[in-house]
Amino acid sequence: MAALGVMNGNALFPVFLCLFCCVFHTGASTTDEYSEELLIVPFRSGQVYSHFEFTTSWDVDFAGSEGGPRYKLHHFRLFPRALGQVLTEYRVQEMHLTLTQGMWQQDKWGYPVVSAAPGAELWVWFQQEVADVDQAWFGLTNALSGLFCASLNFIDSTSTVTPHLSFRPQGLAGGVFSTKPSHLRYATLPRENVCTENLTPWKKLLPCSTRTGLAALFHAGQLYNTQYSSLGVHLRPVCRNDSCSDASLELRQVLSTVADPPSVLNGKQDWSMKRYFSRSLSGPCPLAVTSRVYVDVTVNQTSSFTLKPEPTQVKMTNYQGYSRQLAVYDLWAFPFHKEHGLNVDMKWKKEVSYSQPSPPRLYVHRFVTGYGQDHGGIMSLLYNRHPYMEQQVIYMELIPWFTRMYLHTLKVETTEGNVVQPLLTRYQPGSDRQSPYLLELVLTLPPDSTTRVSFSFQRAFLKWTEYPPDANHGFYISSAVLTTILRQADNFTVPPALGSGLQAGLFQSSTEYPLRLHTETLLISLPTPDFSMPYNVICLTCTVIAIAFGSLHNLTTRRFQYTDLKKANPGWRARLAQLFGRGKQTSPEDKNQDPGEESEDPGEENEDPGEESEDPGEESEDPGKENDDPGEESETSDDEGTDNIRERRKNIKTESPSREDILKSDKKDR
Amino acid sequence: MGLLSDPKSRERFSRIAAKYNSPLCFLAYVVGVVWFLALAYKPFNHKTYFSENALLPGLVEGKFRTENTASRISQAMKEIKNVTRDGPMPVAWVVNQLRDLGLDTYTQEYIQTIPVPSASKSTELGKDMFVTLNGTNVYGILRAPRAASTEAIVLSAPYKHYLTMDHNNHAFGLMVALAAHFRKSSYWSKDIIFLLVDYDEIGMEAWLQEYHYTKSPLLKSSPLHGRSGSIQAAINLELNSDQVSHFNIKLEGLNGLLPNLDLVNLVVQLCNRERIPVKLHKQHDPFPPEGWPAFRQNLKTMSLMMLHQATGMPNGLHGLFLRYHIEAVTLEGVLEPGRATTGFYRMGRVLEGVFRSLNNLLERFHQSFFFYLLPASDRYVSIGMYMPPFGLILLVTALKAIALWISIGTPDPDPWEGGENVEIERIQSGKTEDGQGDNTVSRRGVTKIRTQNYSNGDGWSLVPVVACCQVAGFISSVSPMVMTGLGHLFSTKPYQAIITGATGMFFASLFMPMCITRYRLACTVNTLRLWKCAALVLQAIILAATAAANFSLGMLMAVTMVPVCAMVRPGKLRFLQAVLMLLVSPFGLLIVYTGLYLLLTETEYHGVFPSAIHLCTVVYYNILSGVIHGYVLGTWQYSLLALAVFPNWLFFWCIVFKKRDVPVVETKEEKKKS
Repeated sequence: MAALGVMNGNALFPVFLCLFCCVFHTGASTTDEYSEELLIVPFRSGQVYSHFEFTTSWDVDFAGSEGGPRYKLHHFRLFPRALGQVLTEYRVQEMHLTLTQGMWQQDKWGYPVVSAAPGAELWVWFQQEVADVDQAWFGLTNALSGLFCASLNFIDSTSTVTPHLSFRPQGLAGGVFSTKPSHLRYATLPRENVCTENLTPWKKLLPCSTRTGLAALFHAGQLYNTQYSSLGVHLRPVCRNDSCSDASLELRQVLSTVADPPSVLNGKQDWSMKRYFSRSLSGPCPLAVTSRVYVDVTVNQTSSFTLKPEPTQVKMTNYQGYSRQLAVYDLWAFPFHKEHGLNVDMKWKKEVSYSQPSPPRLYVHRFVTGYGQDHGGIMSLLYNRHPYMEQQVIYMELIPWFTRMYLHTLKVETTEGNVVQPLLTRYQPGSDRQSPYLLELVLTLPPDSTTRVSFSFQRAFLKWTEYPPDANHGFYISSAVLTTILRQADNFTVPPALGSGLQAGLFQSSTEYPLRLHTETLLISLPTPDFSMPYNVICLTCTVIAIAFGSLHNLTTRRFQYTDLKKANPGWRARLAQLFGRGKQTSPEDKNQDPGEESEDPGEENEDPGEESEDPGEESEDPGKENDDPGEESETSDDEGTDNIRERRKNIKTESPSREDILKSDKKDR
Repeated sequence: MGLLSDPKSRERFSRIAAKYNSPLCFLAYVVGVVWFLALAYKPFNHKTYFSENALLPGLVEGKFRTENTASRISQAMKEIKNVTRDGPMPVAWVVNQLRDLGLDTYTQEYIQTIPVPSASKSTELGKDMFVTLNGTNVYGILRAPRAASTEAIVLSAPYKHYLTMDHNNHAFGLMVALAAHFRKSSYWSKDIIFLLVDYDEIGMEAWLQEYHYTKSPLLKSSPLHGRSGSIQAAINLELNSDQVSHFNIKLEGLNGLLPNLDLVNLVVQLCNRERIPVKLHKQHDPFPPEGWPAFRQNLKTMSLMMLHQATGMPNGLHGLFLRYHIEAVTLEGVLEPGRATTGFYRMGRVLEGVFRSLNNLLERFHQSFFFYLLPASDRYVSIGMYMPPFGLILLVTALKAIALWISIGTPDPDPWEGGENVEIERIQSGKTEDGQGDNTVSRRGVTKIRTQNYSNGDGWSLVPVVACCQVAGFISSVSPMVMTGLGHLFSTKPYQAIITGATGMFFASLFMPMCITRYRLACTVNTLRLWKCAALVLQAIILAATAAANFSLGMLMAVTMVPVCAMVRPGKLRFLQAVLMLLVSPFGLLIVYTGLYLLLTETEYHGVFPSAIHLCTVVYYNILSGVIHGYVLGTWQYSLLALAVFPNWLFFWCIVFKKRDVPVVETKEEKKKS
């Protein structure tokens, strides 16, 4: 690393010289290498795990220019140009993108080669020189979205965080590659559906595409008819040689699937390439340096199956007391001219008998607690099954803003009730519609224990435009991430190693094994209005407003005044007319003042006989109007009670305040 | 509209309400009841329909072919049961059956403490005093290949029914067969949980509580080591035999909750497709669907549903899911002798169809109705249809209360309510006119004078009465547990203690009016009017609130309590009133409605005396289960009766027995004169 640092010359001439050299160098003797590997592991639970790994490493010059991009990619050979240009443009130092369908079941399958969150997950370290990281992140996500046909463009500030503890660089991180913690961006899209439209652009990045080599096995219809399938693109700078004096850029494209033969084949566990990829291998990719298929036959020692054809060699590996037997098919050495392609075929002697495999030493489950649409909680169970060793882990939780997390409710305790004090708590509160909540805990899990991490949240009530079309489906909370370093390798499918490709992990021994685990994604329901009834809601609200508003408006804007009921008493016909909304008799003054008011104020009757003459139209409607007074009296007099009241009581008349003068004239009349 | 702004029309309204009070009340009640009963008739209700388009039940093509597995497993389970002689659930065997299919299989152990002292007298006091049940639930999760375990559907079955001791081995057989069939398909987008529950409801509750991590102090259980995502729907399966003649669909859940109507429709539709008859409460759909016999049949089905719902007790394991907003129904396969039967093959196809339709769901059930009554399996009465008649019945209470409120201030003690107040008003207004000779006296002035001249009811006198009633209610709500504690000391049987506790306070408080009479309270007619007015308002509120939560309970209470309580008045015909009041007391209602239920369900009549004894035993068990379920499952029906309905009733009871004193009105006026 130091050597690389020195290369940034301080004098002008050396820089020029350097640049010249670089250009010359890249043009002339840039070396890149491509290798393809496939690992097949039959699980005890009956499933078969196939992990494809395609590694391209390119000896790029990382000298870069002052303040400029750290590397420039020209003259693409094996490295995919479409991706390379994007990476150069946004000055990416390290990038990890996974697109996953289904969930890896840790307690049944152990640890995967590459752990991935269900849905889409992207985390990127930008080069130190990038000034506006958010801008670069925005650009990169949009570019990748186009490149992989995924909805990565939906990644915005509400789903992006910068964890400080969990996602350390996986490649070189010193010297010129040293970077700032603020240059990391992490985001997940737990709802992303992954399928063949993502696979097609992904396999186009391979040098041989799917014409030959291991990638020829990719048959979308079969790959996605599985329990789990995950696509990944990982970019990082790695050591070019053992002394690590120089660095090269490594691109890993991985594809993992877990097929479930018994579910398809009447309970039989038999597996073959032809059946599960619907074709066999016809040869290696001519551009690949290594092209190998590994089959884990460790299980074969206890419950036996026959493997056809005979492997090129059978290798024993041993790390930390855990031995593993691998059958290796070297595609360069395989006699394709004799056979009709390579069809790896496992035939089990017995029908499958399921055993509950013992779960790994460390695993995690997460679930939603409580019910109802107001509050809720999330609980994670962290299992440390090691009989005597404590385990230090980093637990990261990314909670979207609409589930408002309460930090004071955070509880970390073992199932026996002993409180586990976090060594470090890093909490970044979210804000509505801006940023999510981020919680990172460093915990020491006691040996042979289950630790509960729990907290509660409040469900936000979204604005009505913020609901997706399927609002009642619920909202996803992305996986929590558990990061740690294990001392033992026995639960790993392939122990992680610094070198490139599967080979390094499978055959190198180490004492420290970094591990990352993803938990379940969660589906929570937020309080959702009934969108199917907007019409009803509008009707109801309008009615309520009409009733309340109309009455209150009348009450507040009218003037109340006493009038003599005897004088103001209308005839029964007028009343009848009034009842049916035809009371149009108004005083002439009224008419002059505000003719529009008459229907609103039907109670105001005027016995001025001149009215009829003014308004001849009324006569036909109400012919008995002239003699209504005596007639009315005689009609109602039989009811003494009411009559009496009429005689004695004052009645309230309502007027609109704008007509004060009319009121005065009324008084004069009386 | 003008009620607020137009005092004239307001006055007119109150005048009408007062003058024609009794006929109006009668009309409202009769129309309400007739309207409600008419809803059971076909032309007045609607045909059910699918509101959720995503279910697509018609597109499912049944491929279930593992019926032989079902018979094999159920036979094997029966043999095990015979060997173990109804011992505990053969957990290991059940686990193996599920694990052999490749399901992620887990067990859950639990201990339920029932706060009832154990019948066998334990020597130690304290914790061991209580009855404890322990059991083990077994469940297997079929992981969906298409999703990351975010959603799940449950197929559950009780191991056996502890009340009837019926075995459910056929249901388990079918469950395993379905699991074997489902596992072969890769189209599942939701995990399917196969759950065999030990000890009926308690086991179910234990599992659900642990799944959602909602702990209750009485129920301790081991943590679940395997979970799936949020449960979208559940089907509970009970089969009496391997050949069934029809499916009885059970809907009513905890506290009267009902599953979404779409789920019910789905089940009915798929049963119809496989030509398995469907019944609700063991009542078949009438044919022909119209006419008098059909109406009677529909009404019977609807009444049974209401009677079940009103109890608030789940009539199957599905009822416990509903609290967690998981839509669930129970399918009970019944073998009726002399009918055409179907075997596992068609039952399996029905369930396959149900699960594949549920698998199609994109969202939680939210479209169709959650509040409804079913007069037949394909007809429904929605909340919009049954609420107006209920409102009419409640209107009786409201009208009576208004009339009483208006009549407060009437000097004459005899006209108890309404009618004549108009005249008094007139006299009063006349007085003011005379006295002041001014035409513009404010209306407020009129009322003021009125209040001065005639004593309004003494509002403060309400406080001790209401307080007494509420205290009585509170005591009766806690007394079952207190009595069991005390009963332990006197070595009475716990169940007797519960019954004594539940009913003792009721009978004791019948004597409350005597205590109240002794206490000198201002008891003018107006005070009593105010009392009754308050009691009526309280009743209306209680009934309306109850109906919103558990419509059937509210409706059944309203139908009986409203007319009696509206008629109650102090003094006259005390004996008759007392009898009627006793009939509509919480205890009386329980007897009345249990009697009605037995009348509707029991086919044979054994004579008066045996029937009465039968009725008494059923009432006894109802009280018992009401109290115990309140503690174990959290039903609130007993608490509601004890804390709200009973005090309100007691209030009315006091009014009946209250003696009227000499009206204070006169004395006040006399004082003024002097």
